Formats: sequence, structure tokens, C-alpha cells
Amino acid sequence: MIEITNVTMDFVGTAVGESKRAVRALDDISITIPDGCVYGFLGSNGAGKSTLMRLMCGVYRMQSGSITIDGREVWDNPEAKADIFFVNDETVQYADFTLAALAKYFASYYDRFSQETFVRLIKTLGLPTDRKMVTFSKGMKRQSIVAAALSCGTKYMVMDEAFDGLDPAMRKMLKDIIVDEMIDRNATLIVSSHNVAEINELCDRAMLLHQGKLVFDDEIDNIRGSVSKVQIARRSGVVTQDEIEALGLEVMKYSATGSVTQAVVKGVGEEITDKLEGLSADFVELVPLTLEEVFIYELEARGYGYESLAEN
Amino acid sequence: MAMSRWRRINRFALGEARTHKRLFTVLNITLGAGCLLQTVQGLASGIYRSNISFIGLGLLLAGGLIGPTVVISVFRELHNRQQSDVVYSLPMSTPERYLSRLMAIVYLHILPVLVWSAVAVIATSIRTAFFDENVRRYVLVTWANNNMILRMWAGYLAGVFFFDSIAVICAVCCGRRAEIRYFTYLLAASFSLAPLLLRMELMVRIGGQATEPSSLFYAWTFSLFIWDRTETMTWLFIILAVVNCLISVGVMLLMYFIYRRRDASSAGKPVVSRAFFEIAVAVCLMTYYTLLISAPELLPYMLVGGVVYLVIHIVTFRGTLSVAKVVLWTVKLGATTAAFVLLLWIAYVTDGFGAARYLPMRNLDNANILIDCSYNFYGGENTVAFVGPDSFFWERNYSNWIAFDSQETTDAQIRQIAEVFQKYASQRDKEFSDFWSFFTGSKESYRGWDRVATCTMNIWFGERNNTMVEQQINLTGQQVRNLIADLKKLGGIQVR
Repeated sequence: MIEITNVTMDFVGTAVGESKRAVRALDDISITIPDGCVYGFLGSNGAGKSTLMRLMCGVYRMQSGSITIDGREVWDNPEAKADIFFVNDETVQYADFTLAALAKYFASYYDRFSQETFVRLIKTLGLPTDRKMVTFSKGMKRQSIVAAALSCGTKYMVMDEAFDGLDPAMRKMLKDIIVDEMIDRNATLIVSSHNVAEINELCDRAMLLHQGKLVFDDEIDNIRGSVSKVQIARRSGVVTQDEIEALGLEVMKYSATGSVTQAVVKGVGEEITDKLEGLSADFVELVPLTLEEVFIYELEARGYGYESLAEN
Repeated sequence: MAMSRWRRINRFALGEARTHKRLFTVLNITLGAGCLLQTVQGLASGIYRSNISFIGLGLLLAGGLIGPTVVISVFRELHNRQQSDVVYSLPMSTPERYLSRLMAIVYLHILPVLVWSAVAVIATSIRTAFFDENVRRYVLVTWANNNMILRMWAGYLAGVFFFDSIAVICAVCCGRRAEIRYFTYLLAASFSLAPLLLRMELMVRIGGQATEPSSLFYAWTFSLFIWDRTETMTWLFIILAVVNCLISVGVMLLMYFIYRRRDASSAGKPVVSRAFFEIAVAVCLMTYYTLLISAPELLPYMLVGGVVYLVIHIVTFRGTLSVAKVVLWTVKLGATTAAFVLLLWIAYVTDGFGAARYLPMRNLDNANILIDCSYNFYGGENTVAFVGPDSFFWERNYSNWIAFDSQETTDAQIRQIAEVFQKYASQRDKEFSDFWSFFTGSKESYRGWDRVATCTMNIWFGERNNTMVEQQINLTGQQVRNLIADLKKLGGIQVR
């Protein structure tokens, strides 16, 4: 289990010639990632997903808070880091490697590296072992790194936008391989992506970060159920936002056309419909939201929608 | 436990070294070619052949100087963001990571340099012993040759260690590849030149300290053998080279304390350590200035140093550049220049920080001492010579040097005479015009009623040309007379 507790991270210009103004990348983040799940990191651009992933893998030093892997602090702790593998969004760092060299490289560092697994995965993927990775396509590079990562035998694998830029067939193939391997070992996969549908499809749990703050962290089904779109029709007059809020509901988005009102409100389905009975409406309908819609409405509520950005 | 940790570090180092195969191959080809050329040099060119292949040595030197490239490649997590993600996430503690990096440098650079240069030394020695006609005729030449080869080898290795350690300092303190490279070259040159220049300019030329032409150069430098001024003390030189190597290793290990403060967030950023930046730039500027003051015609080039100083600041601070900052750096440049002139003035006023009263501390029994003063007087040269003790005193009015035989003296007598001379060395009139003349080259200036006389003290063993200590001061005519009077007062000194 990975426990992230009260993590705050400021980037302060420590180098010569850098601005000394601190930029807060993460603000008091606390989440728990249980074993054996596929966990999705969602967030706007610059929300702090990659920073949190780097902190989890011991790439950045913690400023405040703690991140533990199975009870062990991760920073500067080889035992904890031997259980986690970080795949970042780049592949250029491996350009000079052949696959054989890549396997040797990781075998030097990870005691549980399995040459057998590596060979099996490489065969499955049909990758050449004697060519330098600089000659590979982007998809082949990704496949190679994933094969190496899976062969390291770590309990946790962290993938930062690892599927971005791949074609749909390649994405599916790579995801299938990863999920199969991870399920076989009861390992935990942590992925970040801007493709919300992908997270929706792949993950059991997810969290949303915005401007360094945690918006939500829950199981995917609960997240989808936590926000609903309601359509209300009332002949006696349009339902106002104040009226809805007076019923104890949090309105994230509101619009009205004629006598029909549309609102995105927080809460579970039945709880919302029960409360809306107080409006004496002629018609109330609850429309289920996709994860992508929840993502968009949550961020819009925090000023990250098209309208807010256009105003700025 | 310690053994398993060591094995882990070694495994990590080998893992790292394997990722730089191309660099390793290029290095070994360079060193191997250098070794081969040095070994076969002259085999086919007759009796009077040289022991040195300049191309061979050049290639061996190039292999040594490739150190910064190796260091930059190995410490790639410090300047490359993508690499830092990989390297920092690997299951290593910070000490393990740092030591494995140093070990990788040993595998990739130090060991090949050591092995190939050793092969070159052994092969050259065997070749000279068996094939050189002049070596076969004169056995002593073998020793002289091997002596020279050993010294060059020791100096070469000390230089390689020095250069690598400077590269490690820069790699750990800088965040960009280009910065690591140019600071390595600037600092290596500055650290090598600064001790020699500071001594020769501030303490000897301006301060009037006694020089010791036969002494070894006690400094951490690249490269030791370039500054070697001895011909006989081979083993002392080798010990000094080993000490230099140990200092370099010590410096590399000490840099861990800066390395451990870094994480991936500083990769690719400008110079990470502000203290390093300020010290490095000041050291380079001061060294450059010290180099220029040795010759008056070079002084205008101080402007070039100033421009480079500002350019380095502008490049480093390009992210937050402003007119106010450029003004501030110009003021800092002026302050640094003023501090340098002040340092020179202090050296002048304090007679080389008191060094003018210092005589090399070694046994001077059976040495000879000669003090002679000469000054221009209407084109002629008046020389006042004191040779003591049990020797003679001479005043003359013609320009030729006097040949003489002197009796050998005890250490105590030499020091007694030297003390009198050095008392006058520290009693020079301190005037700005005199100070300034060090940089304008017009030392033959009038000084009141008398002209400046140059007095030289030589202490040596055996022949005149083996001078061990030489000290030179400028005195007025009256001071010269007083010096002679004081010398005459010394008991046991016979004056002819």
C-alpha cells in the first residue's frame, strides 16, 4: 500500500539566476493507494500529477509530509524503491540502448529482474533485441520500456502519460500486456493520462488534482455517481439556482431555457431526487455522467472551463 | 554487511559503465594508439633517436583530458531531466549512487589511463634499455631516461586525477552540461596557475621573497610535471604526485556533501550552487589578472576578462536578466578588480605577506652565500659584493662579474647573514610610485638623492649555476651602505 500523507511541494528557484518565488506544485495531498488496484491520476495541465509521481518514486525530495511504500519512507530508501518502477513520458533517455543492453542495465539495479519475463514479453511484442532503440518507432520504444519495467518484478508500476501519442491499437495492446502481467502478480499500476476515457476504462480508482490541490479520490464508480446532471421542468416558473441550493444541494453548473432548467449537482442519485421533490416541479430527470463529464464539471467549478479561460 | 554494500555499489558502477561503451571504446583506441606510437618511436630512425613521441604523448594526454566528458556522461542525472527520472528512481541510496558514479569513472577513465600509460612506460623503458645505441654505450642514460619517464608518468597521472576531480566539482555544482564543461576548463586552468602565479608575482616579484629554483612545486595542479623544476628528486616528485592524486580523490569524495543535497528538480537548471558560482568566477578572474600583471603590455587585456565576466553572468542569469542586474555585476566586477589591486598592495606593503623574511627550511651546512648589489650610475655599473663568511668582501666599479672561491659555511652562519639581508628586504621604502612601477616596467626610477640598487642574495651548494636560493630586493644607495656595514659587523666574517 502506498500512503501519501499531507504532501506539500514548492518549487523554489535555488539555482543561480532563477526566480526565488516559490511555486506550489502540491498542496497538502493525502491519498492511499491500495494494493492490487489500477489507480488513475487525473488533472489539468500543470496540476501536479507528474510531481506527485516523482515524489512517489523518490525522484524528488519531499519538503513536507510523507510518502511510504508498505510502511517504508520512499526518499533515499533503496528497499522501498526496489518495489516501485517509474516510466516517465519520455523515451529519449534509452536511445543508445539495444534491448539486450536495456535488460542488463535494469538487471544491475533490480534484484528481482527476470530475464525470462523480459525475453517472453519481447517475443510477444516482436521487438528486435540487437537494434538500438533510437531506430525504434515511438510505440516500439514504449513497448520496450514497459517490457523492461514489467521484468523488474516491482510491486508497483508508475506510468506518467505512458500511452499518450500511441495509436489506439498500440494503446490497447500495451494496456492488455500490462494489466495481464500486473494481475498475475497482484501488482499495483498507477497511471496518469489526459485521456479520461482511458482512465475510466482501465482504472478501479482515481483521483483528480487541480492546481496542486486534491479535488477527489475514490473508486471510479463512486466518482461517477457523486455528480449528476438534473433536468427540471416547472410550468409555474423557472427553477433558480438559489432554489436548488436552498434544498442543500451544491450546484456546479446551472443553465435555464424557458421553463426547463439544467443543473449539475453534487450528490448521489436518490439523495438528489428526494431533495428536489421540494421544488414542486412537473418533471425531474437525473442524467448519469461519464468520468470525463465529472472531470470537466469539477474543473469548471474551479474556474478551469472554457468560459473562465476565455474571460481571462 | 560492508562487503555486500560494496558489491552492490560495484554492480551499480558496472551497470553504469556498460551504458558508455562507445566512450570507453574511443578512449581505449586513443590511449592504445598513443601507447603504441610512444613505444615504437625511433626504432627505425637510427642511433640518436628521441625517447619521446609527441604524437604518442599527445594521444595519451588527450585520453587523460577526456575526463570531463566521462564525468559529464556518468553524472548525467545532474543535468538531464529525462535521465534524472530514470536514475533517481532506481533502488539506490544517495551514497550508493554517488560512489557508484565515482567507481564508474574509475572503470571508464582512470583504469584505462593507468593501464595504457603503464604499458607505455614499461615498453619505453624496455625499448631504451635494449635497442637504444646511446643507452647501451652509457649505462647512466638508462637511469636518466627512466627517471624522466617515471616523473612524466607520475605527473601525468596526477594531472588526470586533478582534471577529473575538477570535473566532478563542476558536475555536482552545475545543472547544465555546457556549464560543467566550461567551468571545468576555466577552474582547472585557474587552480593550476593560481598558486604558481600568486607566488611568483605577489610574493617573489612584488614581495621580494627568496626563490628556490630547485624546489618542487607544492600545489594541487594540472599538471604537476609541467611545473616540475627539479632534476634530481625523482622519488620526492613521485611522492608529491601520489599526494596530488590522493587530494584529488579526497576532493571527489568531499563533493558528496553537495551532491546529496540535490534531487531531480535541479537537473538542467543553471549553476546550482551559488557559492560555487561566486567562488569560481572570482578565482578565474583573479588568476587571469595575476597572469596579466607579469607583463605591462598585457594589462589592457584586463578588459577582455571583464567582458568574459559579464558574459558568463548574462548567460547564467538569462532567465531573470535585467538592466539593474547588469549594473550590479559591473559594480561587482569593479569591486573584484579593486580587491585584486588591494591584494597586490598588501603583498607589496607586507613584503609578500612576510615571505621576504623566509628562508627555505632545509639544512644549509656547507652552502655558499653571495650578496651583490649593483646600480646604474651614468651608464656604468657599481657592484658591491659580499661573499661570506671566510670569504671576501668586494666593492668594484666595473661591470664584469667577479670569479671567486669561497669557504663553505655552517647552516647557522648562512641564516645569520641571510637575516641581515632580509631585514633590509622588509625595510624598503613603500611608495605608490615604486609599487606602480611593478606594472609599468619602469623600475629604474629616481628615488630622491640616490638611485635604486638591485641587491641579490644567492645561496647555493657547489657550482654557481646550481643556485638553490635567490632573493632580490631594491634598495637605495644609503641602504646598500648600511647593509654592507651591518654585514661587516658580523663576527667571523673575513672581508678582503
